[in-house]
Amino acid sequence: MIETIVRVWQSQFLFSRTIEHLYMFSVAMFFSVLIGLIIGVIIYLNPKSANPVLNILNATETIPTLALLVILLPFFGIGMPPTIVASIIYSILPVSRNTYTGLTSVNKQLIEISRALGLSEREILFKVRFPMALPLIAGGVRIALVFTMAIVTLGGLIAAGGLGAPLQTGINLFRTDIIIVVGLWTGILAVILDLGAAVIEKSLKMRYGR
Amino acid sequence: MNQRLFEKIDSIDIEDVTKSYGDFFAIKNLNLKIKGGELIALVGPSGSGKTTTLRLINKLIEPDNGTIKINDIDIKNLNPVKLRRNIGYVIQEIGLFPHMTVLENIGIISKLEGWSSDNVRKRVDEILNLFGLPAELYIKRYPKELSGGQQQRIGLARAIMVNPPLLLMDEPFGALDPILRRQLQEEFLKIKMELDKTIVFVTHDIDEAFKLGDRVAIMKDSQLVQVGEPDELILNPINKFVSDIVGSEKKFKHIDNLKVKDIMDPIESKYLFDSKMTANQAIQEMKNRNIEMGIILNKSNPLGIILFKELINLENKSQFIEEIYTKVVFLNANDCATSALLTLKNSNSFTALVTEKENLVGILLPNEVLLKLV
Repeated sequence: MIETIVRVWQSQFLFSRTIEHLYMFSVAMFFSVLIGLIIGVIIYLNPKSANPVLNILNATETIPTLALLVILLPFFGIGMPPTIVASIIYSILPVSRNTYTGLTSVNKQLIEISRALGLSEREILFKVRFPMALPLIAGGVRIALVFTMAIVTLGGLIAAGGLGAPLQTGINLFRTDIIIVVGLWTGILAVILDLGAAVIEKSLKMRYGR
Repeated sequence: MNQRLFEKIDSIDIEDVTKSYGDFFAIKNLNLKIKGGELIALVGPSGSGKTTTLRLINKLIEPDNGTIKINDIDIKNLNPVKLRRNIGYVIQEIGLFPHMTVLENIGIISKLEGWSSDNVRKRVDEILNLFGLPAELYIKRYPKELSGGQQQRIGLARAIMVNPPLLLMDEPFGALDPILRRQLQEEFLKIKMELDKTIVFVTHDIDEAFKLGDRVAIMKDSQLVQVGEPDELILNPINKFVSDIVGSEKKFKHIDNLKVKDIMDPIESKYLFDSKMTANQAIQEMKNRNIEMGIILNKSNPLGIILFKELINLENKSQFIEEIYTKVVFLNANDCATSALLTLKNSNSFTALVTEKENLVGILLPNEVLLKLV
């Protein structure tokens, strides 16, 4: 069995495929968290825009992943760019929705006492609302992580490289050994990343939880 | 440090202030002069406009009509954030930020005002000391690791951190159990002298108002009914509502016939401590039971009381509590209430244990109206 693993690992260049995979994953996560946070804060600052914006993001969420990849092809070519863009589009919603919910759901009494103590609205946002929203934001990031992992793998279909590529090879050649080894490895990777995120989320909850 | 809007309060003048939400009046034609340096207690049933009055003073609410002047400056023209940094604020229950340590909670405004960490730490030590809380034990903790009484003290510490000349307190002891509340009131009375601030204090407990207030303002249905010193309200209530609230008639008409057992509180078992406990164990138990006072029993004989505040400041915490307890007055349940209260008043203590046929049956924490009457 170990022999099979080693053979597949070497013939399919799984080490460099994993690096590619994690590279796409990190870039996509970085931008989806960044954009998600910014949108979350913007719709918090303009409450009237919150519903329309979240609805639009919800709508994009309903486009099937495969269809989204194909729609993006004319704009971004094939390979990594459309894969990363698709991951970002999918992952913005959980991050911005949780940011928005986290910022708005802080206990009213705490906001009131913050004002009474003489904190400005800006100081309340950064010193009270944001830290208290962190556990919820971390929850959103965790959902984004799962989305991104899935889409990056799907990127194999449009020549994005990463672990989706050898998986695609395995399917095309009907080689179960490749499919199983790469599939398991992709799964293990996803579980490890999710566990890491879970630990962070939990520690934030302990620290900032109410 | 930023400059102060006012170093000292000379007067707060609330003139013809009205605030309504649609048909509902939160406050109606309020006229109230608060003198610099006094503690004025606002008392009334819920919805009577007490809290609204507080929130008008620090501009959490803007009045529809009328003016509020502090030292003859109309606060309408003041920046609310700047104004509030000159006013300490304490509320009931969750006033502390759960994501900040005690040090961060107390120091939040001083930090924003640009104090150095050293200065913040020095001042926090000073204040916690005032409350009898050892700073090194507390500053790194989070609010959820503190008991209710401790949280309330930290809330008060935060309010006086930057030494504001005015303090607004909204039922600060309202959520505590009666005995603990009494203890915090005593403590607050002591530090009030040292603080030398103007304080507006909201409560629905007339005893608390009489105990702490220099003057008491009675409110009802969003209006001020009567304001005056406690004796004035008890002796010359303006109407039946006031006399009912201060209880001048119904409670004390027959004071001569009352016995100690009629005015004492029964003992709950959570207040009982065995004399063979060490101070350390007692501290732990008090935390578990969320109380700050205990009655020491040797077998079933009551000896005296122990106070959390005193235990925590002990050098040697492995002593038995029977060696360190505080002596109190003992009264008989069938003693005449008037003479018992006089005994208490003369011994200058605020607790007495009540026994009947050698058995402990209650604790007497005389309320202020009673003490004023004897």
